[in-house]
Amino acid sequence: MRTEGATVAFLDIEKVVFTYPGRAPVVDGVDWRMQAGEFHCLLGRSGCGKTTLLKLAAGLLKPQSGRIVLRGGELAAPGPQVGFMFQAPTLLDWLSALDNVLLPVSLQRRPTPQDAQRALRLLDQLGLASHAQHHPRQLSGGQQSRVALARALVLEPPLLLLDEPFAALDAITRAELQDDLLRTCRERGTTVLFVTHDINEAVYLGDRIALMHGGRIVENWTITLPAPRMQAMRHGPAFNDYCARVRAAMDGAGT
Amino acid sequence: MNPTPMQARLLAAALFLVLLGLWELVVRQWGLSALVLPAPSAVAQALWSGLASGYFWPHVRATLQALFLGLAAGSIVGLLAGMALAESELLERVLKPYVVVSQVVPKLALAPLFVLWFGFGMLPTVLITALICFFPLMENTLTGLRQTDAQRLQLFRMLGATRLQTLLRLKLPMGLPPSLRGCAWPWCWRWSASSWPSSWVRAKAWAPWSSPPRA
Repeated sequence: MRTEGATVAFLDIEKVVFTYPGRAPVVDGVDWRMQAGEFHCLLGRSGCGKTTLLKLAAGLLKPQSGRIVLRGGELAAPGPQVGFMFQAPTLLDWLSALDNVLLPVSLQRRPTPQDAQRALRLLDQLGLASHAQHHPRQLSGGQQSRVALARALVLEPPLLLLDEPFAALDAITRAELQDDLLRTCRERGTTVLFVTHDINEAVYLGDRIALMHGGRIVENWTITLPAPRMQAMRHGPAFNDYCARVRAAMDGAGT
Repeated sequence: MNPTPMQARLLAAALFLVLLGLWELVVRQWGLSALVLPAPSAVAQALWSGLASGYFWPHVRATLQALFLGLAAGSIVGLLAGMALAESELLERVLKPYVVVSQVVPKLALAPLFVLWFGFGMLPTVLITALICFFPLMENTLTGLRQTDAQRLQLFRMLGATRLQTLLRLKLPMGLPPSLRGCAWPWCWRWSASSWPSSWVRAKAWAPWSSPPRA
């Protein structure tokens, strides 16, 4: 229901609690709102509940209480309206890169030539045009991550959820993929929720950062670095100031 | 220095020849009767004359027929049973003990019983062959399907895949040895990629002779 004066959030996480039976809550009453087209980072140490919150937002898990509203409708089950990228590329190694990208389509219907063209365009944008027919085994780690990103985007989902997708990559490849991700999502107007434990990555990518600790969001920042981000910003004082503030808050939350 | 695969194969063949030679030598040296141990040369001679005179052929045909029928029946039932047991925990709990116990019975001991029950025809032979093939296929299918990793299962859930799609497009190919995954893939694709009616229409399009003639 739309109330006078208040805008309806694109993704609205309301007082969400999730517990595995017989244990302390993993997600303990989280409220978070995202407007369409925003890029938010969910930052926290291992075990703080950030991945669980992401799975709740994806509909892979059901909250015990609270609710998750996506574009005005309560999220019932996972589906093509949400793109998801896991920590590992999780490609199917018996399929070519192109068929891997087309997997979300082919599980819904038979892919049309237009679908194949869209998939090829995505691969092209991510610098993999010449690898479309290669199998995952023939690709490097960074290339596999790019294929996984293309797969998450092929149905043009309005919401993209990423769970530390670049954690296993070397620093330079990771920086390239961060730029690719920002550019691709900006072109499509995709709303992105990105989980990471890397402060640097969170400040570089996010318009906003939520810091999670013990299943709650304990702190949040709006990052006002100029868009589009450039790698050179990483060395600027503004960037490092944000990193230091976030770091201090993380250290404070840990004690 | 490691031998190449070709060299290894040649060595194996050479060993085979050496063993045959030794066997022949032993039989001749000690003058063993053909009833105790026939020499390889005598075996080869008997085989050749049986084949040349046509005496063996009907028997070879009958054996191959029973073998293929039994192999096909055992494999199909084993594959289906493995899939059913992998998909349903309850079915596995209820049926697995019986399947395992049935494997403890030596199958060749069943042969006289089968002859008694099903006569001297092809049927008992086919049944025994099928029984022998059934278990390894069921067991391998079951373990293969259970090995699918959790993240890929979650991916399929995330993509809204049905249970049948998850079985055909993820669990079955994952359970196959890597060299076979590519072969199974087109098959799975055809069976699950789209709805039945459209694949039926495509089948018709591939076989134009089966559609009614148009005016």
